[in-house]
Amino acid sequence: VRKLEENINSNWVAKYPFDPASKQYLKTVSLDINEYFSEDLIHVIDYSFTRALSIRYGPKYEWENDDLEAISYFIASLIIRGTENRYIYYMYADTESKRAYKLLLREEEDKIANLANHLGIPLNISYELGKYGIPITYYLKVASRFLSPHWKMYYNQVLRGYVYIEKRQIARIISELAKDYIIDDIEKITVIPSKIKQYSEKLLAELSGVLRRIEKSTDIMDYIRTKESKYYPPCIKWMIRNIGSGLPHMARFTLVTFLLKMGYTIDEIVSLFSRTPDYNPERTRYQVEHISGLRGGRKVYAVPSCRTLKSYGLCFPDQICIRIKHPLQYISRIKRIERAR
Amino acid sequence: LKEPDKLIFREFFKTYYFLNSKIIRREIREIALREFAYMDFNDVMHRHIAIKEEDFENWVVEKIPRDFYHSSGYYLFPDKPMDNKMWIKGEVIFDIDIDHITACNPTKIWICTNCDEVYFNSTKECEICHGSINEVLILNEYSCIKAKDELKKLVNLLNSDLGIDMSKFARIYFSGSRGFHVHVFDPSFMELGQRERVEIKDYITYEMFDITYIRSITAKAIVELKKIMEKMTESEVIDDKIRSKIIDLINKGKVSELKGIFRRRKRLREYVNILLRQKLGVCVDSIVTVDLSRLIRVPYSLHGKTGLIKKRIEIDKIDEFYPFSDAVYNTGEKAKVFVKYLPNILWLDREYEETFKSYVEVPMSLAIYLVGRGLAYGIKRI
Repeated sequence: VRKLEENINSNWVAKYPFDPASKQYLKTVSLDINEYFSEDLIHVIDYSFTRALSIRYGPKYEWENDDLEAISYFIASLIIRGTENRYIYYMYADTESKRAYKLLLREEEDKIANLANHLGIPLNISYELGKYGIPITYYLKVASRFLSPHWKMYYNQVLRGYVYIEKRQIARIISELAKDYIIDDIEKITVIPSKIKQYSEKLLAELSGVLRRIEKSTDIMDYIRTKESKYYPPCIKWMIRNIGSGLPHMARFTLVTFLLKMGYTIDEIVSLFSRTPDYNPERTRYQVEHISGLRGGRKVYAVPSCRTLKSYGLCFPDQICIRIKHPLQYISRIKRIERAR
Repeated sequence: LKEPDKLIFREFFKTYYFLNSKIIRREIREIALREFAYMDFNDVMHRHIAIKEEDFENWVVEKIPRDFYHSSGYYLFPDKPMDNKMWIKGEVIFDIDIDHITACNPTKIWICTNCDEVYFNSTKECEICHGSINEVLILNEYSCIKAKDELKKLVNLLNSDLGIDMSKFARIYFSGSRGFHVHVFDPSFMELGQRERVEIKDYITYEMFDITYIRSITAKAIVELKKIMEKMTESEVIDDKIRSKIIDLINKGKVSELKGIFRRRKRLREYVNILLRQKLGVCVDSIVTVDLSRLIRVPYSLHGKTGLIKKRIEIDKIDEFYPFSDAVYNTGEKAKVFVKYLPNILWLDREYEETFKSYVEVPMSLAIYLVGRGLAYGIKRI
C-alpha cells in the first residue's frame, strides 16, 4: 500500500468543500461574512446564490476561481439554512452530492482514498486490479440504501472483511455519504446574518412552485398515514417512509401500482412523489399515467409479487408476510386476523 | 407431556440448572442489557424479562425454564414492551437447521397418537385404529454430517470473506435439537441495522444471485463458474463451443461479454445460477439473522424437547462433535421407559437397537430425549 499523500489546497477545497479537512483551509482564506456585502465582493454572494439555486438547474462541474468556488459552498449553505425548510436542505445535499460524484470519477486512486479517509472510511486499494477495497460494514451502511440488485456483495470480490469495487461504485458511495456531511454542515449553522436571510427569502420565492407541491403531498402523506397505512405491508410502508430520501426505480414503480390499486388518483400520487430529491413533475406525471394505463402501451401494470420485490431487496417481512405471496394479500390477511381477534 | 413424566423432566432440568447456572452466566455477554424469555413446565411463555448479572444464577435455579431464550439485541430497557426497549446493538446470529437443508435427509417416522403404531411412510391417519398421526424427525448420522458441512462452509465464509475473527468474536453452538447456532459479536457487525443484515444474509445464502449482474472478474462466483465449466460435459443446456468461449472470456477477464452470453441463454443462465447458489451459499434460516429483536436459545441451557445442552463447539472440533454424547447431560441415573419406537441410536458410547412398543432400560438422558420427542412415555427411575 502506497502512502497516501495529504494534499489540501484551494483546488481540493473547491471540489470537496464538505470534506472535514477542507474546513481548516477555508477558515484561513475566508473573510467575515459581512465583508462580502461590500460593493467589490457582492459578486461572491451572487455566485453563492446561483449555487444554492442549482437545486433547480442541476450542479456545475466547471469553474474558474477555486477560492470563489470553495467559499460559495459555505455562503450557499448559509442561504439554504436561512430557508429553514428541511426539504430544501435535502434537495441541496442531493445536488451537491451529484456534483461530488462526477468530480470523483475524474480523480486518481490516492485522492479518492484521501477523501474516503477524511470521511472515516479506511480504504484498501488494490492497484494492480484497479479496485477499491472498502470494509464490509462501511460498504453496507451506504450500499444498503441503494437497493438495486447490482449492489449485492456477491457480485464483487469479498475478501477478509473488504468488498473490492470499481471506481464508479466507490464514487457513488462516497458521494452518498457526502450527503450526510452536507446536511450536517447546514444544520450546524445557528446564526444567519440578516443580509443572508434576504437571499434565503429570494430562494424560497424561486422555489415556491416546488414547495407548494411538497405541501400538498404532505397532506396526502398524513392522510395515508392516519387512515389506512396500518393495513399496508411492511415493504409499502417502508417506501412511503423513505419517499423523501429518493427511492430506487423498482420501489417507485411498486408504490405507484399499489397506490393506484388503493384508489388514489394520479394527481395525488404525482404530488406524493414531489418529496423525492430529484423530482421532475412532468416526467413523474408521465410515468404514473403510463403505469396506470393512460399512456403508452395502455397496459395497466400489476403490483409486483413478493418474489420480485425480494429479488430487488425491497422485502422487509414481518410475521404476516410469511404466509403471503403478493403484497395485496397482506391487507385482506391482516384484516381477517383483526376480525378474528 | 403427561404429569408423572413432567415431574421427572422438571427434576432433570432442576438438577442441571442447579449445577450449571454459573457456566451459563459466563457464556452470556452483557446480561443486564438482554431480554430473557422462558417457557415453563405448564407451557406458558414468559417474555420481556430483565435479569441483573448478580441475580442471574439464583433466578435460573428458581424459575427452572423448560426452554430458555435471550435476545440477540442489547437494549437500554430490556424489560419494557418491544417499542420502548431502545435497541442499542445486537449480535448477528446464524441458524443452521437440518429441517431447512435439502441435502439433509433426517429419518422421518409417523406415530399414531392413539395406539402407538409406527409408520415409516407418510400417512394421514392410523390404518389400525384411525387415530391421528404425529410426525417425528430423528437426527441421524448422515444428516448430522451434512449439517456440519454447512456449518463449516458458514464458518469459512464468516472468517475468510467477511473477515470475522472467529476465535475472538464468534461462538459456535449445537442448538440442542437439530442444528447449529453461530453467534457473532464483532463490534463493527453488531451495529448493523436490519437493512445491512439483509445484505449479509443474502451474501451468506447467495439468495437471488444472478450471473448476469456480476461486476468483478475476481468475484468468487466467477472462480467457481470456471471450475464448473471445466468439469461440464456437453449436454442439452450447453455445447462445447460456448463452454470453451466462457472459459476463454473468464481467462481474459472480459466481464461484459461473459454477461452477454448468459443474458442470451435463459436455460443456461438458470442452470448456472442454481448451481452457484448451491455451491457457494449456506442454508441458514434467514429470519434469525435479519430480525433485530430475535430471541435465541441461551447457550448451555437445556432444550425443552430433547434435554440436550446447547453446547459450545470449538472451531477445530466440528468434525468430531457428536450431539448424543457431547451435548448430553449425563446424570448417571438409569431409567425404565416404555418406547413406542426406539431408533437404532448411539447414545453416550453405547449402541441401542431398534425397538418397537416395549419397555427398555436406558440412561435417564436418553429416556428424557425419547419422551421429549414423543417416542416414549412413562419414565421410571431405577
